[in-house]
Amino acid sequence: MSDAFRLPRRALLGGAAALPLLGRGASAEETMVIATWGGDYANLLKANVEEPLMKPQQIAVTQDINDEDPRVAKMYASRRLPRGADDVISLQAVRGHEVGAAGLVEAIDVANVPNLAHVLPNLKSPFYAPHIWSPQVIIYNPDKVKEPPKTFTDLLDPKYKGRVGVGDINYFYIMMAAALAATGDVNKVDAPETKALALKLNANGLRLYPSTDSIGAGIKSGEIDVGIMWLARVIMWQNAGIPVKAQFQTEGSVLYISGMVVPKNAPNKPAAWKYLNAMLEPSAQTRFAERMGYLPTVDNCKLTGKVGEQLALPDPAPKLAPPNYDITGTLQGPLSEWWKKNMQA
Amino acid sequence: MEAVAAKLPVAYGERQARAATAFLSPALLVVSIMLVAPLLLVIRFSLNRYDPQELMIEAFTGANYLRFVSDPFYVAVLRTTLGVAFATTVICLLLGLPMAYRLARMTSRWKTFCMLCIVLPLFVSSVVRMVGWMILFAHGGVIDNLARWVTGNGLELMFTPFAVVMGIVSVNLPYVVLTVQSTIETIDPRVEEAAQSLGAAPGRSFWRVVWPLALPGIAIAGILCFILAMNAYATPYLLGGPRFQMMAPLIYQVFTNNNDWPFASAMAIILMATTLVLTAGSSLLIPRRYRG
Amino acid sequence: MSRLQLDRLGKSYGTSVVVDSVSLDIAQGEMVVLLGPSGCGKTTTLRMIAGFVAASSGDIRLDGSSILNLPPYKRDLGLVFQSYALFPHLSVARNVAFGLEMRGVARAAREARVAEMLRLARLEALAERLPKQLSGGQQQRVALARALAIEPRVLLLDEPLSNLDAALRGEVGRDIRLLQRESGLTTIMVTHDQDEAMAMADRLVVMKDGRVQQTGTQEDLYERPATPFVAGFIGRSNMLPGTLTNGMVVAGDATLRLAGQFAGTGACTLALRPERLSLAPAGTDGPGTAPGIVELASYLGPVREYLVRLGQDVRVLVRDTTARPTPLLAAGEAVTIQWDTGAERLFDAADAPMPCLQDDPTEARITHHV
Repeated sequence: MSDAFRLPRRALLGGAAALPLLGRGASAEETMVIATWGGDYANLLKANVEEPLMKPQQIAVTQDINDEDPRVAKMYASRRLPRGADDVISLQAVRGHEVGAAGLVEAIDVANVPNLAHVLPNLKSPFYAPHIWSPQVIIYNPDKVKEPPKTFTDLLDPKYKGRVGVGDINYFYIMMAAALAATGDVNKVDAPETKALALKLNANGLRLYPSTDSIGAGIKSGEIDVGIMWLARVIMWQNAGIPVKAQFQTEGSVLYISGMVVPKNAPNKPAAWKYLNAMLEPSAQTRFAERMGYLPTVDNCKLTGKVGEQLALPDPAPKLAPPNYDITGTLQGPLSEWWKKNMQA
Repeated sequence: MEAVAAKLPVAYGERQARAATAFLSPALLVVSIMLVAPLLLVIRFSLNRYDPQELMIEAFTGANYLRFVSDPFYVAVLRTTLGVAFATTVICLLLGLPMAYRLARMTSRWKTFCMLCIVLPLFVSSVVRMVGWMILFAHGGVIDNLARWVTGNGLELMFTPFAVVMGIVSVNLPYVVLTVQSTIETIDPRVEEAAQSLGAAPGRSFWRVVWPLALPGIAIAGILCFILAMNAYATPYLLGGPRFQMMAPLIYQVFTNNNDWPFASAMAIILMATTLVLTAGSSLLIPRRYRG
Repeated sequence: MSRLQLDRLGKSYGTSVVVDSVSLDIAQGEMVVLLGPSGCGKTTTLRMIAGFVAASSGDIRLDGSSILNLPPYKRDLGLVFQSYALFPHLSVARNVAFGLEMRGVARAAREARVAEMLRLARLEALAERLPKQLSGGQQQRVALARALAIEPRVLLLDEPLSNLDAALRGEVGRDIRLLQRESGLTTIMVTHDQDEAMAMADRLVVMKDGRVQQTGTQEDLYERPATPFVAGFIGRSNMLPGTLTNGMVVAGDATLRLAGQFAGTGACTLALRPERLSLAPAGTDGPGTAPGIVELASYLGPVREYLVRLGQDVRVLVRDTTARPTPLLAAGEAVTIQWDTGAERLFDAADAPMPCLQDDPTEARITHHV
């Protein structure tokens, strides 16, 4: 009896509590648009950045969901417009620095975005706000591979013929890893040694996957035993029950970094600064680590518990190799064409 | 008086023509805005120059076209596209013709059911259909496991030209069947009976009577299939994998990945021109008296 | 040029019987017309002979041997369709040559035969035309020439005149009949038009509901219909259902005295030919009479047509064909309808004709014309 009474009353109370929130939402004067990937990433932004951190500041955020390539194309296409459509644009570091070099994005600093002060030193940039990052590692199926490959060149072993898979869309990261192994310099993606190494890997029956998720599926189905992927994905796949483990290369790890830029013609730049600041908040950063396995880009976010264990980098600390984006940014186009003609063919 | 009488019908005719133009103009406007204008824009873009920083620099250059025809890689992609389109068209016609014939000559209530079975796949997005093929073709997929069970060796069809051709065939087949079927239905079945009564076995009666009469419809079905295959995007992307290159996905890649709009535009024009030329050429293969 | 026999030929789809045990013996050179309303099974019968419909039972024999297991293209039958079914993409000459080509006839012989057929069908001038450039009558002549070119063993005509307008029907019909006679072809024609059938047949087969009602010459069918259906379908008949007692048929509240003498009693149907009835003054008595009142009178030139009421809801049509000029009777006049034995036909409850015991046409009495 008492339960029957309690239920509607609680529902009523909940409804009453929601009312002022709704009222506040409706009276928000400011609006802004973030162009980003869909799926988990967009949902997490909404749940951990936009709802808890932006809404209280009277800013209603609209998500403009699309793939990265169209997003960049749109930036180029609309750069001459005095007023663009998007205030914040999510991009991988490589693309972010490419549009930065093309002069399409606004500079950022601690005055506008106070949390930039906490950004890890090797991720700092004058116009690119890093949001999440993950080291690129060699992945392997521990059921099939007893002695994991430790360097990029180990993947050339004939025993891995036809058993190595990488993402076709991640070609730039693969080439950076090859550059690191071939020349010791992550930026020399178009060096002849780098290309030769990549071609050798290709000749060993390299499998190219059209999407990142299909690499995990390839490991699961037994199509491949080893591959190259960033750590965050390995953790997600482990959580999904896929038999996969990570191995840091001895020559060092390329960094996958995703972050945000503010285009020069953003209609609401003050809101954009607030957004960048919000996504760097430790509370938001923690949730991305928990849910997607990416590492925080700020020094004031300490991971604890299971996430802390999963994401803890091995001891001794692996070598991390952040690229010089001024160099790599200009190599996007030519390398893409080289990859298309030599690796895909 | 005479002059007036002579003028009247002319004025009337003019007025009629003007009225017809007025009725057509909204459609004309829509077509020109939605179709012709973008096409002209693409042609204009294709003559521009690409710059990594500035992206597109106004120019009048044929360099993009020259780049395409002088680069064996791109020519090979066009050749692959043509090969896939031809193979798809031939397979679609070989499979579709008997189906269309049976369907056209069906009189029972099963006909509605069969028509539904052929039309139904058109209601499913081609991407969803491709996912079905992926399940069938993939490593550890239905065909792979079946082959392993029967022969001991697996059979991986995913990311092969075969998979792409099968995928496009599955997308295009309903169009071919429906086009040919509607043509065959206009052929009086009595004509075939007449041929048989005159001593033509069913096969001969088909080749001597149904085939020439259905040829215009078959040609339209083949051209439709060819054009659809030439421009296939999702199927080669999903079933061909990163190593299988066809024109449409490549144009998209050049357009969005490299932001090279001039070159992508030139490629689009080359693809369109190739398709148009072959389509026009194929109609020459049909004997004149069967045309129209 | 063969003898065609249908032996208890039947066709059924599931439980519905379309053709029910049809037997027919067609002599060489004979033209038989299958006649009946639509759905009577005549076309199905023809299509079974042609081989496009498989028979469910019975047999079809051509010159004594069964053709049931031969496919249509091996039966050597000439077919002419209602829709002409010409090959639209071939010229008239190529249409006619088609069957010869299929038979592998050498070019010279083929061309000679085509020329002969075109001449017979009066189509020489149209040899290079396409079918769509011809009139309906010309098209049907091409179809006929095409069917005859192969010298078929039997010619099958499926409603060959139905698509032609009335003026052409007679002409094309005569063409067909002449060509058929000339070549001595065994022919079966299917039609629903009794005038067409009467004009063209050597022998007629009247069908209804998949069964043969009667087979015979035009005269057989007209003078001696075997069923009330035939009596109504061939020519016209007044049909009066009633009861037979003592030489009288009581139909509703009307009583008709029969001209002939019939044995038996009970339910029956009396069929009276309107053109064999005449009108006598009221009160005339004797065999073959019934009293009535003129309800409608129409003057049609050679014929006067009267609708005579014999009783409540019992009416009889009388077509007075007397050559002598007689004044038209007025509506409402009391008369007696009168006939002799040749005008009446009596069917029993099972629709079988009842034999007339005294049936001597010489006993025809003088009719009284008013």
